[in-house]
Amino acid sequence: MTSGVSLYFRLTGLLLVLLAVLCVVAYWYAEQRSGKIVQRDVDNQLMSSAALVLATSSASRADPGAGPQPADEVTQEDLNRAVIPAFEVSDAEGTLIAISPDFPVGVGQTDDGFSERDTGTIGWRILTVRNEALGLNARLAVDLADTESLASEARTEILAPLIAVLVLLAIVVLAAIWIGLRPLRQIEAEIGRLDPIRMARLDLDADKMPRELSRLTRTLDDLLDRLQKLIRHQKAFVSAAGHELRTPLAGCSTQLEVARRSREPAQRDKALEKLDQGLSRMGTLVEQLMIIARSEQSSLKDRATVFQLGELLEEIRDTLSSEKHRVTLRTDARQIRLSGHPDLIRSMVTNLVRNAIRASPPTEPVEVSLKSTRDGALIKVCDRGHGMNAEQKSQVFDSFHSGSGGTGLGLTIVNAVINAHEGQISIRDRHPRGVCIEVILPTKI
Amino acid sequence: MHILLVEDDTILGDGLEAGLTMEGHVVDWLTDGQDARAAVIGSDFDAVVLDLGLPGCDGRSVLQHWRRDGITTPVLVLTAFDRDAHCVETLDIGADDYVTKPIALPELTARLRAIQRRVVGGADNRLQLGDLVLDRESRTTTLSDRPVELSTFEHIILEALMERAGRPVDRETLEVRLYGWEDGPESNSLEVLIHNLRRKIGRDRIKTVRNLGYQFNA
Repeated sequence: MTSGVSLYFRLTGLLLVLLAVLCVVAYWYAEQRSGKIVQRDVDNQLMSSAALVLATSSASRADPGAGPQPADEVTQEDLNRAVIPAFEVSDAEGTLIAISPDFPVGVGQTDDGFSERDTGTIGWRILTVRNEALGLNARLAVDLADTESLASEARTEILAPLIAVLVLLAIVVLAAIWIGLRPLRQIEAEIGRLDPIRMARLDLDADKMPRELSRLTRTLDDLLDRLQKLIRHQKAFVSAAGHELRTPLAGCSTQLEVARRSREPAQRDKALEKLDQGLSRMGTLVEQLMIIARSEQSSLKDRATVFQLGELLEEIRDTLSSEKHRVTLRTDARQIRLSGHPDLIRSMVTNLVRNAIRASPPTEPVEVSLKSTRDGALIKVCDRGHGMNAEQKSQVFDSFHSGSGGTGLGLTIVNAVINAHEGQISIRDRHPRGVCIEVILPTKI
Repeated sequence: MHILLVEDDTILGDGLEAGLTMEGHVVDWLTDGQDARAAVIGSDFDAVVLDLGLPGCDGRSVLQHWRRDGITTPVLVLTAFDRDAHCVETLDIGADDYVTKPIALPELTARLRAIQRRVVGGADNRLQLGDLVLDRESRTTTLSDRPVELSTFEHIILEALMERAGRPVDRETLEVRLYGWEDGPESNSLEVLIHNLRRKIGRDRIKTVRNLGYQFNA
């Protein structure tokens, strides 16, 4: 079995993909925006520089001896401080009045307004301004690579905090997921601690769990309860089976040992005969254990058959009734049909009747009756024995009472079969003596 | 050894009785807890093999009664319960050993010998007094390293006397050891056995104590 990806990694992966997409979108947006903003900025700078250059040129032309003079609006200080792009000023006739040394050579004619020119290795953005009033033309140029580096600087400035925030966010969210998954880890750790032999509820308070997980915890607890019950039952069964089989097994092995060592034929024969008896008793016990095991299978219901209960009771009466111990059967509902397992029901009733025969004095018959009631078929097995005290009665309902003194697994079989058929058992005292054991089996088919 | 066996299962009880008898022990077998309670009082059992699931009176309460009444006879508990179910509790109320069924006869007899060793205080299965050595396990006797041929009954009597060397052992105790509760074959057979023993191991070793019985001279 390959294990799936951890929930934490899955959530983290999703988050990282989301962050990557966000980064790409942010980068794309910053690139678009920074390009436009820088372009606008550069253009504005070109325009204001143009105004400055024109003003300066016009002033210097008016007073050529004084050198370049600042215009009214522009102070010399302004001019010094300003970073003037490469420029060229000419008069209306096209005669060059002034040119900065970095102005590109060979740009040729340009139209008014912005245009772009390539002078071999460098791309230029050029602003051409024609001032009719001053009779001057100015052209200003900026290196497109400078614009680009400006744009990239702007991009970095926009992106850096954005990315930082995103990374911080990612860390916070990862931590939140880790903390959020803590109850799941607790459940996992608790389940890891479970001992398959001693199933117990998880050591977690379902009420303190998040709602989804509290449901999960409760469901798990329910399952564990059921498993615990099942395991306890299985253990009790195995222990009871072992207990029941140990004594006859010990008897058989001892008799075998005696037979093997004995030098006298009479003693050997006797030991072998006892061994034979012991083995047949063990066979009966194993058969009884199989009945109990079969009646505890959960798939029992699927394999139920419909049969006539009255006929089954008649068979049992015919088998068990003898000269010494009579068994009588009274039924007003011979046609009662039951859905279940006739062989299991037969074992159950046979055990009850046998117990009743054991309890009864030889002259008194064991009375079996079958009646149809609202709750189902009512089977009564009545004897005239010594009755039962409270302890004996409670033993009848104890699923794995190790009955000493002959009952053996009989009562265990009775209980197991009744449980398998969802029936009920009760004991009533009889007047003047004896007891009636009443078994109700639901007849719904 | 004179052993009281308390076991309600007829097949197992019969097998243990036969098996232990074949091993040279004298076995008295009871199937009821109430009977067992009374049987030990005033008797001279060397050991008891006690089942726990008994009708009438549960094996553990039988054991409790014995110990409360000051009966120190060693008790080996033989049970169908799981080993861990009652072991500690049963040992603590006075059992000397706790064994789960089924158990092989050789193991059971070895455990009984071990219990006996503890009672007598010996380091092994041998009883040694001077140059006379009796081995309980192989049921052989040697005198000055030469084997002495003893019958089963002679062995039983010699063992009983050697266990109580220096003290008199009464006739009744010796007879019960020989035959259990059933009557012995003849009333003078004990004298015959003592006579044979004296012939085989030397006259002076077994002294007759008037009105009391016999005593082994250490």
